[in-house]
Amino acid sequence: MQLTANVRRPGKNRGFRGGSMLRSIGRSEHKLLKVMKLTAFLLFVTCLHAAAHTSGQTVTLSVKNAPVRKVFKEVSRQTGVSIVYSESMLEGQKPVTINVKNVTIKDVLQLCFPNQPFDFTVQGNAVVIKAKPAATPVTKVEVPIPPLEIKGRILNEKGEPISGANVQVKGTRKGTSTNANGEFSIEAQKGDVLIISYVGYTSRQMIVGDDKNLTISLALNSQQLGELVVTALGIQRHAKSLTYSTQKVSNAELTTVKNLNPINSLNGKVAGLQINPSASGVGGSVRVILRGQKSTRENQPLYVIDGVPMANFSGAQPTNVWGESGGTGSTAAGRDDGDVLSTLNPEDIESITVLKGASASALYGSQAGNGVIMITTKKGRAGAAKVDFSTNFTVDRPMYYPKLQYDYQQTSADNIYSWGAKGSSPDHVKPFFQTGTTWINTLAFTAGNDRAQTYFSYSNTTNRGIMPTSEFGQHTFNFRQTSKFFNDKLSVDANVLFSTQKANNRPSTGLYFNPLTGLYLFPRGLDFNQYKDYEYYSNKRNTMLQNWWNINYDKDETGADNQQNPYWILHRNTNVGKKDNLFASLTLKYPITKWLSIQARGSVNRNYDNYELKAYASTQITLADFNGRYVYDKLTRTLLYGDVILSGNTTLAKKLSFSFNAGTSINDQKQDREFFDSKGSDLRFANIFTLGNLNLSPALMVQPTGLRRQVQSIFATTTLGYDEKIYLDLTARNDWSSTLAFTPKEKSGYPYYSAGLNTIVSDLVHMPDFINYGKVRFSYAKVGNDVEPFSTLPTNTIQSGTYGSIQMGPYLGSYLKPEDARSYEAGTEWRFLNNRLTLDFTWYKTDTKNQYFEFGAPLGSGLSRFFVNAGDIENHGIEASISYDVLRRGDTKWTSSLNLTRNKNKVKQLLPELGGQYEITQAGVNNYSLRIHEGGAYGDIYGKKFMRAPDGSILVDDNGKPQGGDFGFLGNPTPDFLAGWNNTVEINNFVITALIDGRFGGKVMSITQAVLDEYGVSKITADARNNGGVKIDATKISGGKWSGTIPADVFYTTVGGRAGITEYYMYDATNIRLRELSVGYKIPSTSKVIRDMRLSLVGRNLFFIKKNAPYDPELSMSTGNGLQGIDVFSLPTTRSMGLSFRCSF
Amino acid sequence: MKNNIAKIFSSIAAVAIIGSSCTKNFKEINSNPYGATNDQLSADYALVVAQLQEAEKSIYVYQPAWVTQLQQNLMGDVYSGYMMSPTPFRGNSNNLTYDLVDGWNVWALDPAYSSASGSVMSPISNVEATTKAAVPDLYAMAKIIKVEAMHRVSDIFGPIMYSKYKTRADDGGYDYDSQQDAYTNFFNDLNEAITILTPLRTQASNDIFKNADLAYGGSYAKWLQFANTLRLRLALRIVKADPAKAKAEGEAALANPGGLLSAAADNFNVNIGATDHPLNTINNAWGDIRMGAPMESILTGFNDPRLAKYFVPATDAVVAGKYKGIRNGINIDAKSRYQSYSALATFPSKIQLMTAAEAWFLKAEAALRGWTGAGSAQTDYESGITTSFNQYALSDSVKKYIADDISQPAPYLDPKEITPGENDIKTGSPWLSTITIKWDDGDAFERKLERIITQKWISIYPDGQEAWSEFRRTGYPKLFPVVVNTSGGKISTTAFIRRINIPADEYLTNPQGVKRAVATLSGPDNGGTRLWWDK
Repeated sequence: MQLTANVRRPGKNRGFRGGSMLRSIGRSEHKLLKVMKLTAFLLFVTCLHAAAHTSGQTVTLSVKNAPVRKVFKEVSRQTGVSIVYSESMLEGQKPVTINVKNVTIKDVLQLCFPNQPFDFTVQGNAVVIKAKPAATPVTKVEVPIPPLEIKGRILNEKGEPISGANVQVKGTRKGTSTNANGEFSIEAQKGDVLIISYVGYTSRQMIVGDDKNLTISLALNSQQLGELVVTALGIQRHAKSLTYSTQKVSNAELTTVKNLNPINSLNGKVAGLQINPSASGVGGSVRVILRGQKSTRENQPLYVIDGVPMANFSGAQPTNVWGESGGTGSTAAGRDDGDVLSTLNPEDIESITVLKGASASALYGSQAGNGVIMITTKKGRAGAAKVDFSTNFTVDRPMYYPKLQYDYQQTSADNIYSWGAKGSSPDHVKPFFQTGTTWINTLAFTAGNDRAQTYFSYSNTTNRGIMPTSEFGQHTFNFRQTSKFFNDKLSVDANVLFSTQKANNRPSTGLYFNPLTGLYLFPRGLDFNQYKDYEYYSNKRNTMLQNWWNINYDKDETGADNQQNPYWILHRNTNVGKKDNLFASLTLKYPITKWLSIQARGSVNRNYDNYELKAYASTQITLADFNGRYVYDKLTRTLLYGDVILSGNTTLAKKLSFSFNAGTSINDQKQDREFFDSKGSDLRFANIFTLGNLNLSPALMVQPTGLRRQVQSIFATTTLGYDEKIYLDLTARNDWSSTLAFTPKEKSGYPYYSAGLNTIVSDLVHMPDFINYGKVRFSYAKVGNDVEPFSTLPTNTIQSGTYGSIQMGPYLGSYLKPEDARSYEAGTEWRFLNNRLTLDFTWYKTDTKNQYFEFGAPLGSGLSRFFVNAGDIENHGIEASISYDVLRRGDTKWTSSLNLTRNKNKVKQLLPELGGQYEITQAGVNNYSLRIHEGGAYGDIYGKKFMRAPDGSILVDDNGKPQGGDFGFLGNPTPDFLAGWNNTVEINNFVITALIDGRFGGKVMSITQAVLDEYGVSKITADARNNGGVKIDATKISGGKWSGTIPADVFYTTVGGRAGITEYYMYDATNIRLRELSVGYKIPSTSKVIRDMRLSLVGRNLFFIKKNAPYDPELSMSTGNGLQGIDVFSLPTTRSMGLSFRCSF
Repeated sequence: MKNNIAKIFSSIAAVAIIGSSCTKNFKEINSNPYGATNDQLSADYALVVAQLQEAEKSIYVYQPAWVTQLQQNLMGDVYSGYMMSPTPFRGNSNNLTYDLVDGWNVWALDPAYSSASGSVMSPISNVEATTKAAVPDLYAMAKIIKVEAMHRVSDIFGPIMYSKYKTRADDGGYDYDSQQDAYTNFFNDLNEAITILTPLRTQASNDIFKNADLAYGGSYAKWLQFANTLRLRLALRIVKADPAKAKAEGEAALANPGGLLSAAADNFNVNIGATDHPLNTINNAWGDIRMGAPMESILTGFNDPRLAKYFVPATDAVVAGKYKGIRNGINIDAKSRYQSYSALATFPSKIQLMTAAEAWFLKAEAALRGWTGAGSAQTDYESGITTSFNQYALSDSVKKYIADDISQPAPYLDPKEITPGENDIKTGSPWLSTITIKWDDGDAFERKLERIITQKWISIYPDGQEAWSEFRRTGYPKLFPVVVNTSGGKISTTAFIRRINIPADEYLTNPQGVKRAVATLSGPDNGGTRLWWDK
């Protein structure tokens, strides 16, 4: 079957002739009828041609001192026949000089191996040659020879394992495929021929000899087309022909040190990718940015599963320092509702390919302006049935703690601050956290034959967080069936992914409903253990109420909104988030002719998300009413996608190859949300959490919302190749989006296009021997984005039975138009020293214009928000990756690779008539604001600065107390550059991998530190008190210099707090960490049943090599656009260590 | 070969035709199923009525309570001396200590136009446009609501966007009316409304608005009384800036046959139904507001029986059982220090924006100034007190109160002050008034005015916004200056805060308009500059 696969390779169709074309017409039309019935489509395909070939063509050849490979290539080109050979045959072959005319293939081959006998067989459209074993005495044995178990490992040209390579015993149906580590085991007789094949690589044949442990290297395809890359729409292309940058991450890299959200495993492994996990802990969402931020809406890339877009809808995220979500007017408890990505099981993923630039993704249109992350899931394989089991157990501890003090007591009784006398209190913070555990188990079954293959997997995840009561559980099912019908012509690929998740008490960030505020700020000197009994029986209310040092209903103590008893929050402010995700897709593919095929796909992605917050009576009164609070949030999201693509691949003239894809697609999104929040209206009866118990008043929050969007598209892409040395890529697409209804663009839609060019320099000009490969590429793309649903037809709102007049509308009545992003990219790829050193470098620049904004309108305009297309944001940067096989000696190997990313962002223009500034996170009454400001960069942090004298020194009053000045720019959280350094060392049966990841530059703010300082509970405040105060050299407002020491409490209560002088709480975000470390051991097995046992010690986020901020600056309070670069009592990053075990049956 | 390419492209074209033929549902898809278009709200004139009601509710935003806190409470309610917050917001550097917080003050401006939590001008301008010809009575009510809401805003900032609202200037700016122009326009609008309503006053009410009107159930007679009283209020407001205009407008108000508000039942109260009064939330739930020191000084000094209706005794051990207020703008280290001083008494679910008692005191001042139709100052003054007592069901004690010619505001002592003596207003302090209750026709003009304004101040509680305006205009009642002034020299401690600066958002989004607006001020755009009527 490998050979059949080989025959389908594009190479073989070169050189069809007119005669054969005529012969094949009738057959094509006949087949066509079936296609028509199948898809009711493509009536216009009336006459297409193809070429059928058998061997026997003749070859005319004149070469001088040419490598044998080159001769093979020329023979293939002339005859359309694939030549299959084992790499070992070519070892030591000298260049040949051949001058023949109209001779047979065999004759030419004979000339290539002048002194070596070989076998020559024709299989289909391929010619298989293999060396004849040296003449050995043939001993005839009468008894059947017992089969040997042959084990082996298949490596690619870089020495990396190839998973999923096929191994088959020639002439039998016996076959298997390699596991994630490239290993296989098969029973064969001595003398049998093993055929080893993998798509994109030259198949090899090995004769079974005495060696039962084989290491086989596959070379890139003989035609040097290189590995196949999954590109937009799932189209497989040869890496060589790509004109833009992509990077692939294999299953092994995702699963060695496993993460609940597979996207987190990409951190540090892909140049150009910046990943910020949410601070909400397990199962939380991630913020992924490719090549910089451009928009105030979606900045995250599109996720695609097996070619079909997936709905990674952004859900609820905190929007302010308190951690509330829902925006102005809504005090909905803030939360991270996770994302759909976390529902994927990393074990089911074959590979992830990152298409970084707009050129790569232009085919996906609007949604892909920020790049695409292509997820290829596993398929069943022909061969023996196989079961894979893996289990992963890790324990988690906080990676760091805030630096707190226990030496100074509460200021005075009932005071919230700890600015009091000296005294010692025990550390109540560290013991509060528990050891978290994460257990991930996967069982995967594969089986199949040539016609039908099945893959089924089940996995479960059980997690206990470091925060007590925080739990996360998930079950994932994946079923994939690939089959062929009608003479193996129609291929059907069906995939169903289902997962169900439940998160109890997912930690929240911000000041509200966060156990960490009460924990950290607890006045020193009081007994924390006393409040482990978080409730007491209240005579007054005949129920259990909150017991906290300043919250007690019976004593009329109401406390403050920013802290409660942490245990009360965990047990009586409970939240449960549930998520079900179903993704099902069906792909039909049919070859109309040998060079033309049609594919139809459909998918449905449905996502249910349910969240409930139950806050019992006596919860702090700002956060809940007298009888408690009940929040009910239900989201249903559906994405339907369908496309039909016609694909062709042929040559237009000698040396000129041509392939194209043309098609149409429809993408339909729907989202409906039912949101109820009793806050403000109270519950009818205390502590009954049902919708029926909501008090019906105008204050009750009943906010149904929804979203509808349908995008219809047509697209075409074509690649022209000249002699496999120069490629030209052209793409065009037009989208019609429902969100542009009621505008002039409703009917016309908006176009995209991209063009790319590359040259394989190493093939074009003669290169020194140490250069194996060199490529230079350029591309340009224009993509766009539509506007927000419903924005072209603003409506009155009716929520909670209350009317709200239209307050938002298009800017000055102008119509909304699509966004316009233009990107340029230039890159180069090189391989040196026998492919041991590889280098990939990309430079890019993107100009994004006409972004959709919801700008604060001048109040006099009659509206409060304008919908407007405005702005010009530029991103430019570089991405580089270098990989080197440092050591390759027998069983010892060391591969090292380095990824570098740098992105610079500049806001060139932003509607100057509206102030040239857009606040992503509004300051409101706090002194943190995230802005896009003309002349600045996306996401600049603004806050309150010190009042300063002209010489730059801070201004103080006559007592030395610093003065708060104006709001101003404080820094930008985006790193100047990112680096990821990956190492893999193999020694015998051991594999060690280490990933060191660094982010350099950028500034972040810690409101946590500001509040801890204000309350006098941070270590730094104790140090200051021990030193007699804070030394200040400053200028007096009244004139003259001031130098001296001011009391620590005066200083820290002035600069500290969420509304203090936040300039003081900016930190350098540079951090370097050992992100992943694993030591794997392959357990030698003698068992016939269990194979490929591997045990690994794994660690994640082990330690920081460098960190300046008081928290992990990589954490993001929100994975939306807001609240970047700020920490408000987020849960510390966890350090995970554990064991992973995998085996196959 | 050419042939093949042609076919390929014809294929693409065919796909294109199929693909592009289905945009006909786009309008439907892009119509928000959870909103309502204007057309969908045509039944029962729902759109007009809903917009009128929305504006009525947004004069004083009551939901959510934190908007009230920023729009009214941490501003006029405190600057009027009624209340003070025990909470040291922002390290005790905030509006209350004259460090004006843009993030707060923007809530005094936005709901006056349009915001997620309230809108006045935006719905009113729609109502005006659609009702002028068709339903003039609703048009008149819309005008009255607009003036009531917007004079409060002008009294905070000075210039406001009013007559040129929604009109974009050539340079893109939205122009403000100077405060003088704004007041001229208020009078014109009121006059227009009064002209429409005067002949209707004998009819019952507008059928459309009857059930939606949260104040007067659509009653023409009441709306007319309210408009007349409002006109008198505004006339007196400008009495120093433009005495002739003030007199003309005031006398026109007094002469209208519809009359003024006269009994407590006439009060302009926005009924907020099942929603709790936001001051209850701010006071009880959050503990963010307490009695002000001047309230303690004046009400206890006067032995005013309304004291128990307005406040509850302190629970702090040091002053337990007493009525204890907090002095404005003092040193506060922690909320717990003053949280147990006197809290506010619970308010019913009504937003009180004008009382009949006020109408009597306005009339008393008009009489004092000799305006035609104002009657006797003493009678008006005493009727004001009586009406206020009636409002709180205290009519039994009113006689004795009116006759009290001895009681004076009491000294204020703060037993919990951080630095001893810093908050105290002792006997003999220039900040302590010697005004008494009983009317004395022999008193000088200024003392009579102080007496009227002091009683008005007591009676219109808790509308701090109006009380602060009258304090700025007249200097009465005598209030205590702030102890901590963090304005950076912009606001004089002894002259008190005079206004609020225009928030930064407006500078950002409407730079040209703001520039011209600020030019109409008598000084820089800060809290120390006096308004036009504040001479």
